[in-house]
Amino acid sequence: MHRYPHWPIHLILGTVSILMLIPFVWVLKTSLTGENIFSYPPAILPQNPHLYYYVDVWYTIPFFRYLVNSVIVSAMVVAANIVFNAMAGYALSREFLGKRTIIMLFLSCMMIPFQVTIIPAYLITKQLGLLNSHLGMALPVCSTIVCIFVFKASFDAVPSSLVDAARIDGLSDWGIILKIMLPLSTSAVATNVILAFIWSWNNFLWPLIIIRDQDMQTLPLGLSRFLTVVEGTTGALYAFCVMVLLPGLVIFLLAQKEFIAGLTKGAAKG
Amino acid sequence: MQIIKRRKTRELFLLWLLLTPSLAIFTLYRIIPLFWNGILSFQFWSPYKPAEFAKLYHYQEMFFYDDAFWRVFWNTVLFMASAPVGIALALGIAVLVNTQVRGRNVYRTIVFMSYPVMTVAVGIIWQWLYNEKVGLINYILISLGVIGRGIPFLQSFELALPSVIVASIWQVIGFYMIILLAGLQTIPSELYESAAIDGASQWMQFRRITLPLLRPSVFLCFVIGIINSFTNFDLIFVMTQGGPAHATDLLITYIYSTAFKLSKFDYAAALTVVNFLFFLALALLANKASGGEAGAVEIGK
Amino acid sequence: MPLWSFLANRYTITFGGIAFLAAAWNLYVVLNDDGILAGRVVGPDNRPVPSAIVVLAEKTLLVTSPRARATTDAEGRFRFSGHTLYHFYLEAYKEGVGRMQAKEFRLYFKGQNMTLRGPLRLQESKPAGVMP
Repeated sequence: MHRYPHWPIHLILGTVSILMLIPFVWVLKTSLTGENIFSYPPAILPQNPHLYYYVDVWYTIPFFRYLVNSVIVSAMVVAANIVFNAMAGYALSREFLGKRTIIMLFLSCMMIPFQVTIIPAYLITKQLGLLNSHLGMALPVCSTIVCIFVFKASFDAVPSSLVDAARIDGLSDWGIILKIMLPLSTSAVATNVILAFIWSWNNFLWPLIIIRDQDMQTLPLGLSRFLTVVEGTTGALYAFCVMVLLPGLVIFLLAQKEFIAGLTKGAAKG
Repeated sequence: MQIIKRRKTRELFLLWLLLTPSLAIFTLYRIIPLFWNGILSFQFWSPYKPAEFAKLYHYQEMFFYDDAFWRVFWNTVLFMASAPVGIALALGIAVLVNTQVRGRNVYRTIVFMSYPVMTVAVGIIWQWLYNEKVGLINYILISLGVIGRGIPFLQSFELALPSVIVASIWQVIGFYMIILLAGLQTIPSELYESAAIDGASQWMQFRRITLPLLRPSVFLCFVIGIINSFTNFDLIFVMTQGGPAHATDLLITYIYSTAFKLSKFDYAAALTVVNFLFFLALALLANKASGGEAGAVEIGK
Repeated sequence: MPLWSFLANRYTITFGGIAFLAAAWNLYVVLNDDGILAGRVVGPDNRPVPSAIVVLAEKTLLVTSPRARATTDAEGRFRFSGHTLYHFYLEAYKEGVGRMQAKEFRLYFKGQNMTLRGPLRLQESKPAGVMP
């Protein structure tokens, strides 16, 4: 296992990396130079790069408004997720009557992907009067079963002697959650935050269904509407793409470890 | 005794209180919609009139008269069938990344970078890479002399779906790689060492040790691939809007356009029921085939 | 001790850095957005042209429409102020001397103060031409 040459591995992985990076590099280059939209053959190196397409994006699209909407909805989803999932995870880590039923219920809910529920969810949101609102966008994803089980596993791992000692000291249930369980479960909280943020930040289908006003749109929605208006005739579209990709990439690069850990934990149930 | 009983009741009450918000959201947005879908599929529904009972009208329409439905169904199956390709590629990459080369974390990051970014942007980029006149892919093919003129990838009936599948594999290969990497890292290296001592070649080590021990991870990737073919809305919507005459429509995009563009909520509900049952059958099959709990994954994308 | 680890956290550095850059940029914009556009006009012989007319036209995605007009002084200098454009054309002409074809300019923010580096040079008039 130690004595094979490394350079073929670097060669293959390097080629793969280049292939994986080409789309990013290409869109960055076009957003800076506006070539390759009309001209042919496409140039490899940027000539005359300029930032003016970004200025176009800023002034012709309410980018800031879309960004704010995305941030608000994501913040609501992340906050609600942490609170609700932690509560449910704690409840599931205690013994009580009907616990098995509830767990079976949750597991079966896991088998219902969001896409299957869109029509009635739209009708329900309409009945609740939450169309075109931040709350309406956030509500269906305010709690996810995967994250509940992540919290449950984390809380189960807390030694019960600790909990018993705290009880004897007179700590209430809320106190136990806040002072003992949560501080010991920072990785579960981090997983929750990352997963909830990425899901709600990139969520396209649900806002597409319930948002009609232009100024309530989130970033993915704004991007796709811009595409239908401009249809690739201007570099501003690609500048918009870059501006939309950047926050996701920055957050991913910052939180890589938590991200990968969260996805593997979330994917391999509980 | 009374005090203990009251405390237990209080505790029970508190636990149910803790469960309520999550339960409420799931009931409201998963369970009720599931049943409402079922009910809707048996009705003639319109926002202006009260609903009438329709018996099996929509299902008849779907199975016997709707050619688009069968095309869409077949597309979804093809999409699922392409998952093994992605998994095999990801397996190769994962094995390579798992070695002791320097900078493997950099490689891992680069390959995974395509997953957490916004699918809408990915769709726009790929749609433009496939452009017939100025797309990079056509340029490379023409420079290599493979073809004489640009191919309209996303406008042709035959090539649209494979093109979209390639873009989808590009996006999801990082996710597969991460899962397979995690699986690879649970294989103890003593197994490899003792096999090497016994004279087993690299290839045989791979076949006899790695592959069998990776079965759970590979099955997990299969499940994810299946789920992906039922939920991959963003990419298709942005790249082809369902493609030239439903050539790239998947069940989910077809449901969306029927429900929200044509406003045929009742027919779309019937489609959703079929979609869900199909998905459920496949998920349970995958679970059985992997010999137990392969892990149900909730992809909220 | 805890304060230091809080500050050296990569999240704080990134987001703090972004916030700082955004604030600094906004400050720069506020200080420089009076919409002043200054330059000068020279004739085909490189001598300043007094009383030439300079037209400032806004370019949107669809049309170019004239927004303001200025006249050069005795030394051929002109000055617009208070405009709120970021993508525009400048055109200059003087009867009997010549005209300059519309030249495109782009700014980084609306109304960025700008002084043209080179002069607007009038060429000999050609017969065809549409004047606003």
